[in-house]
Amino acid sequence: MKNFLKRAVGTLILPVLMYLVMFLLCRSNGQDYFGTWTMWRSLIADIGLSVSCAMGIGLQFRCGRFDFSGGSIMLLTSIVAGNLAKSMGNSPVVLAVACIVLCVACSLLVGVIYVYGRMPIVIVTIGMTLLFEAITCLVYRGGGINLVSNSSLKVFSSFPGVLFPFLLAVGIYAFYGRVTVTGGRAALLANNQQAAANIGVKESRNVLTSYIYSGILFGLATMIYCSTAKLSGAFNSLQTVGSLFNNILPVFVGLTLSGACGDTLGIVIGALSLCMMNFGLKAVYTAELGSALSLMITGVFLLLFNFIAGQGELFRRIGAALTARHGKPSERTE
Amino acid sequence: MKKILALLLALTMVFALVACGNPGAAGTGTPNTDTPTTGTPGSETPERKTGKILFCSSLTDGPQYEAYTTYLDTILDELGYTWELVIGDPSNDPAGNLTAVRNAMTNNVVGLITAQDGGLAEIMAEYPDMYVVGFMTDMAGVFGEGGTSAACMENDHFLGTVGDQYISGESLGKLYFDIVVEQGYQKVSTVTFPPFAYPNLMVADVTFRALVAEYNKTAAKPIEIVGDVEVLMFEPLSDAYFMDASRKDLDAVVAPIAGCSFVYPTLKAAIEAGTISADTKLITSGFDSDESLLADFGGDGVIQSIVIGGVESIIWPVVMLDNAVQGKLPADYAGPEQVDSAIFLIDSREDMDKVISDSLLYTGDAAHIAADWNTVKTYLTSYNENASYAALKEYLASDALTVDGLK
Repeated sequence: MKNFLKRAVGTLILPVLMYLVMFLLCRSNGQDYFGTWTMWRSLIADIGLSVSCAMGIGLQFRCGRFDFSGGSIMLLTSIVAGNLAKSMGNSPVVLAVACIVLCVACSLLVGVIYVYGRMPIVIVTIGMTLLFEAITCLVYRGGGINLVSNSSLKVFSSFPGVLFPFLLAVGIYAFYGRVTVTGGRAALLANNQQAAANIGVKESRNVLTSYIYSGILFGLATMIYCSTAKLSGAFNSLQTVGSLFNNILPVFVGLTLSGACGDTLGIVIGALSLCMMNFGLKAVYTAELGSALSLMITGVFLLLFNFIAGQGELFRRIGAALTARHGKPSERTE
Repeated sequence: MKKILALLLALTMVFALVACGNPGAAGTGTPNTDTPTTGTPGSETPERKTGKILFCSSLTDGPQYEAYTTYLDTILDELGYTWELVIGDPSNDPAGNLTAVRNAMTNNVVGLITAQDGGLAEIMAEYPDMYVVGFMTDMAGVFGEGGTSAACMENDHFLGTVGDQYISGESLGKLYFDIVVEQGYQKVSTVTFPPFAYPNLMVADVTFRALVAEYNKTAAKPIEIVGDVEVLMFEPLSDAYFMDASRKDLDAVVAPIAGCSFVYPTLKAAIEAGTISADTKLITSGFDSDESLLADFGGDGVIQSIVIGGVESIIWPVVMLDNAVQGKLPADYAGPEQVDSAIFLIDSREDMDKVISDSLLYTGDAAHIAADWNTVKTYLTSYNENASYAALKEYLASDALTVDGLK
């Protein structure tokens, strides 16, 4: 019971504190809509995108592979799937299927080149990012895609439709990590690659399977992403990496919280906290200041969060010292 | 096996590079390494200098971009030039724009039409023989006194700039004020882009507010402007904007920016969610050919008015460049200046229908070019000895390139 409470506090302290801080900040500035249903309804799309994208990156990240290609895969898929769905009568089903199929295909291609090219993951994923970005400038004459005003295809980026890719992404990530043999073996490989290979784990197959899963997660993220803004081709090299880095932040929080609640819930908590912070800061400050402050505070927040999380041993020592100093009542009488 | 694979990959790369470097015919993005030449593209003119013209664009897609490329394909082909698209730096960074121009530079480049004004003085210093014309550079502060590219106005190879709508922020503010009064809106809010990038838009907002204040002194039904102007950092308007209780019953949002992309989605979502009044309208700039967006224009739709710089204002840089390249600038041309583009105001369903059926902007079809080859020739000194700069400016300011001028 004590352990459960400890875990619950460890899990909830971050979002609760973030909520309270932002709530007070907004209220003190006359923004009384923070915490209302209208806010949550709007925020859920941001949280869904952040979570699904973070899980796509996190799935590779926890196996020791930093995949730079996620953003470019999502952009390329958005353009192709969006245009395809538009040309087929604005069908959300076509959009959903195309997003998942294309993301899996692109992601698997990255995996195949990584496995059979025998090159470092950074080289492969940056190379594939450049390739995918180049294709975004060629397909549909570099015209990109704009679904922001398309109510049919915007269904996955607005409530309640966003719950479908969001919850599915959480389910698939949890399923991969907790249920599948591949997920278990991936953890073995990440912990000790040589030992895992020695006991018969086939790394190539494991890597390719993990790329299929991350492709599905990117596909679900793309279903939300493709209609959130007007998307143009990536005419500047590695411009998609920025959006990737934004979405990896919940992974850092998630992995830190994994000791208390597991990385799946940790990523959701991380995304929720960061989205609340962004919303609150942008609501209070003007757009110019809000964006800059949001970036700055996000960086400082993550730095502090990871610093504090990394001081576990120090906290234990302090706790032990305090206990020893005051002693237990029975010890003091002796 | 590995060696064969490596050889195949190397060959693929070589062939790809060769294919990419293949010089082709005139047109979009086609590199051409010919030196400037003289020739006879039209039957009327015996001897003409030609070469390649660079178009440094701030757009890479969308109906306006498509219209520009169609126009340049059509008219520059008649004139015997080739042209190449230069993708400017997305943040209009001077070094980025200079690099982009450098990368596209060949020995036959005779002119640059640029929608990116960052680093223009440096570009002109590096390529002093190249003629340069600004196009859709809406920043009066950039070329005006003390502006970052003000030095260009002293350069005899700079032929001036045609703005994105009005050069003057005051005129733009007046235009939006007139629309609000005409539509009878009484409660509005304003949204703009940051002044460091678009100083004239902030001037427009200040002017708009001043005109409203003046109007309210005598108006029976005064206009209320809710809150300060919302400055967007090139990100869509936040959902939080419409959660503010003071904006629940707005008549209109006045956004002289690319509002179809940056404001409309949030506004529409807020209406659909019931957060704000279903009667809230949008007066904005920027044109988008998305069908569902066009369907939401005019009448009971959300978007009531769109103002953009007329796409065929590109006739101005084309004519100026050709006259300069031929060494025959009109006698009445006194030096570079900033001129307004044609004002393309779409403010009714009828207007929009006309744009959809008859404009180069929507169709991207050369058959719908209003400033066609015959028109262009009348302003070219090499085709018309009486061509004058004043007549070109008059044409740009006329109804010919506006919605009213659509045939």
